[in-house]
Amino acid sequence: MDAALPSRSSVLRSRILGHAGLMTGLVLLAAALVCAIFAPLLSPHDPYFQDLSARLVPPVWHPRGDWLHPLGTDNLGRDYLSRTIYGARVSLLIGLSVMVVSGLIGTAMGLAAGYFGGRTDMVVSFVVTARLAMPVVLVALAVVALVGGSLVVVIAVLGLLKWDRFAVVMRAATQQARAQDYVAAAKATGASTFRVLLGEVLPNILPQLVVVATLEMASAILLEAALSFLGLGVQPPLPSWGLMVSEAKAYMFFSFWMIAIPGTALGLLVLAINLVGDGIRDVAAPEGRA
Amino acid sequence: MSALLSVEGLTVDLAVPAGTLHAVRDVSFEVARGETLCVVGESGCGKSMTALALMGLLPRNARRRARRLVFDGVDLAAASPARTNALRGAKLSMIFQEPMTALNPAYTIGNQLCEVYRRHKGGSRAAARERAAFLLGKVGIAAAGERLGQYPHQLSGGLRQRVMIAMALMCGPSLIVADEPTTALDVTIQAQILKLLKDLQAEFGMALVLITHDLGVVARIADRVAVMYAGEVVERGTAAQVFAAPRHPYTAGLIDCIPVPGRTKPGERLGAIPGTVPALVGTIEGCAFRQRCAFAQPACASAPPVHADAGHEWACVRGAA
Amino acid sequence: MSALMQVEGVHRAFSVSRGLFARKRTLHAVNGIDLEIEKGEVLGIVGESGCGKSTLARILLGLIPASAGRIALSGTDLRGLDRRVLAARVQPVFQDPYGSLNPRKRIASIVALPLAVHGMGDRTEQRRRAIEMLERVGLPARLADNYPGQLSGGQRQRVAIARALVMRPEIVICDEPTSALDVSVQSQILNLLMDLRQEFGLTYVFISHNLAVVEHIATRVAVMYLGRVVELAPAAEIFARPRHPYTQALLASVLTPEPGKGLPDTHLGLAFPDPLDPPPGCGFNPRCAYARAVCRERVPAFSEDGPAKAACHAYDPTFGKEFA
Repeated sequence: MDAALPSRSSVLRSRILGHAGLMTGLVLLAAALVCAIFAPLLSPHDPYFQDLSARLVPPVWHPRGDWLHPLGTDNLGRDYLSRTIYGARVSLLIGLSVMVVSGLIGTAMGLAAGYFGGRTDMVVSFVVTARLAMPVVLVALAVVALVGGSLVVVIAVLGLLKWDRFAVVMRAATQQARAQDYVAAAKATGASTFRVLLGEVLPNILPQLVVVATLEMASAILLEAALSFLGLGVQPPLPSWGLMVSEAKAYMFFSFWMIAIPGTALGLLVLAINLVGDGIRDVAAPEGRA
Repeated sequence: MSALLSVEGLTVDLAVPAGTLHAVRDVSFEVARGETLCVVGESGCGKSMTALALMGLLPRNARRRARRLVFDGVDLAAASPARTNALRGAKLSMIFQEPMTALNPAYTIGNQLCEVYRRHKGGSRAAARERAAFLLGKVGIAAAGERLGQYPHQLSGGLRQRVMIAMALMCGPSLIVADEPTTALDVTIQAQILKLLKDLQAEFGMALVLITHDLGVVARIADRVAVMYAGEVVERGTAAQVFAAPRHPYTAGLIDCIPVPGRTKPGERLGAIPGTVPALVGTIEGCAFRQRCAFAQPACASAPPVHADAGHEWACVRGAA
Repeated sequence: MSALMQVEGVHRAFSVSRGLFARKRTLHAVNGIDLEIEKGEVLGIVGESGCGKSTLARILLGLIPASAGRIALSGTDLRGLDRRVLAARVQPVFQDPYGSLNPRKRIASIVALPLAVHGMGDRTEQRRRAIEMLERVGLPARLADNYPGQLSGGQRQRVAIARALVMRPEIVICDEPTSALDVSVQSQILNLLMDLRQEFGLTYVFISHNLAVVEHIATRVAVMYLGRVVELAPAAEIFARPRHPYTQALLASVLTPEPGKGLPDTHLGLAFPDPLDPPPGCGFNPRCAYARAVCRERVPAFSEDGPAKAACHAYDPTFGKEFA
């Protein structure tokens, strides 16, 4: 035991680098983030600029394509590469915002239910069950019909509806952590409930939280795309991948790339987020206790 | 008479992320028919791996080698998996530490007992049930017929371990390997279970290899003892030899650590072995105990010689006192 | 004379659900316990799994409230006491050194937690005192920034002891502190606990299922069975002359490393009682070789016998003659 122990950070670094899935996910996610943040710098054109003389230009690999519009243009002559790059903004903004809003609500409820148990647990479990009985798409449809669709409305509706998995997973994880002796030991030092929850319980359920958060983020991104496709999400002319697919559906037999490009972008982003989530779960397991 | 089980140069290597873990290193022992051999040591000394290696139940990342591994005339090292399977459960049974996990919660006790019997011996369901009821009675379970229809979770820990023992006896084995069979049980139950095991062993003439960390259990039940440290047998002999005159400093240190009512004075400092067990990953040279040993000398850096005195053997540079 | 800690008629019941539609049942984990813990003593509490010893430990630590009864610390009822005041005076060492240390915190911050909670000193001062205590329990200061997963079982238990002592409490409740450890490590920890008791003038409540360990460290022993104390006596007396049949069986079951003594016959039956459905009368009667009719009808009260007290009808002046 007296031999020098490898430092935790170096162990962690080698574990991350050795995890192929996590590395793939991180690279893809980083690419999406770069697109979203530097969209104005990366886009060759204004994504809203309509050039009706250059409608439905195919991508560059097509015999009729050219380098002016590497991914072609849509039915209004807008540059498709620029719209795809800007689309990453909408998807990531919605994914992250919904994750934060629903994460805060669900984690608070799950922590409370798991830690206090008893009546709190009964109330939370009832609210979760009630929430699960509500179909997200139908509620979103009703809300959008009432107040109109916009980025903020989509975030609010999804954020306020999608906390159920956070609550369920955090409740189970908290129940498990609460039974550990280190929680009892912290309580026996006279620590406040708040301190026990934040200092002892939360760090130990963080890996589960991260996994749920990534899953929920991916699912929010897909839901936004679905809502936008149905015309209930963000409104045109905002470049959202879901909206782009929706706008392209009329041309799908003649200009297949119009659906394939935003669809692929969406698929890759969701895949990246899920890979990162799984990777973090694998990497973050505490050492020892083999 | 030749030994029932003869193990020579048994080695188990485990592939772990950090390299090769030498869990069992060149272990040799023999078990005669009807005798009790206790393998004793602390956690990580390789005693459980030795048991699993005998049973052919090692985990996937383990590799077993042996110069000689003969059970009842069958060479286990060369035997096909099918041959090992046929022996295991029939002539060679095992009792595990945690009866709750070793019994299948989805089947009744009767089903599990009968299955073992019919797999190896065939015969009718009625014959198997009769044998099961007979053995449950033998392990001290009253109303055996009724118990056969119960599920493991309906029994207390002590009763479950009795069922495990009955299951091990179903096919009339000639050797039982018991890995910490009483560690999960209460002390009063432990005494009862060990006594039961000893009585049954005498009645059915079985040999017993008992793996334990508890020197008290060893002293009371063993005919012969093998003390393991860091994957090696460091001392072996009869229980009387090992406890009355331990030769290896590790054995002596271990015995000094235990408070014994009436022998150690209350409140007095107990003997202690400083330091901790060395890591078994990578190559190990010389005596593995030398970093913790009060008698360590330069010669300990090379493999220690094995001394023998009337069947009492120990691997240490220090010879007879 | 007033005791440091007084336990009077303490009960603790749990309701146990057995499936969705089954009736909830009540488990009397601790069923009427009276004890006095004197300053400077080591009170050993011995019993087997399910006897309520760990529940009692948690009640003494203020982690769970008693359903009935009163616990007083230097005469002050625990219910009226601020949790922090209790925490500063009573600290635990738990059994499982793997579960009792937060795997995501560094050793120094685990040991300094009580100081942080009580706002004693700034961060550097807390760290300094944590490291000082680590060294006192025999751990090198360089482990301060390691995580529990990098330590051995014995080292972890030393960390747990350091955390318990860093605030200089008066009472340490040790709940099976060595049961999860190897023998050679157990003796190191027992030696350490005995040294620290001398150095800091501590009072221990030492809970264990291992009678030999309790005999070594305790000055007084309480034997528990099914939520009750069945015998209470000075340590030497319990081992020299156990009164209660259960204590006798427990003592007989201790397997000392003495070859040739063979395996003991405990004279205990197989009828291990269901704690949810304890037998009427004395809880031990189904396993007791001496049980008489009265044992199945009445719960025995404590009877004094010399320096010892046993809850057994055999020592009761009214019923004792039935056992002759």
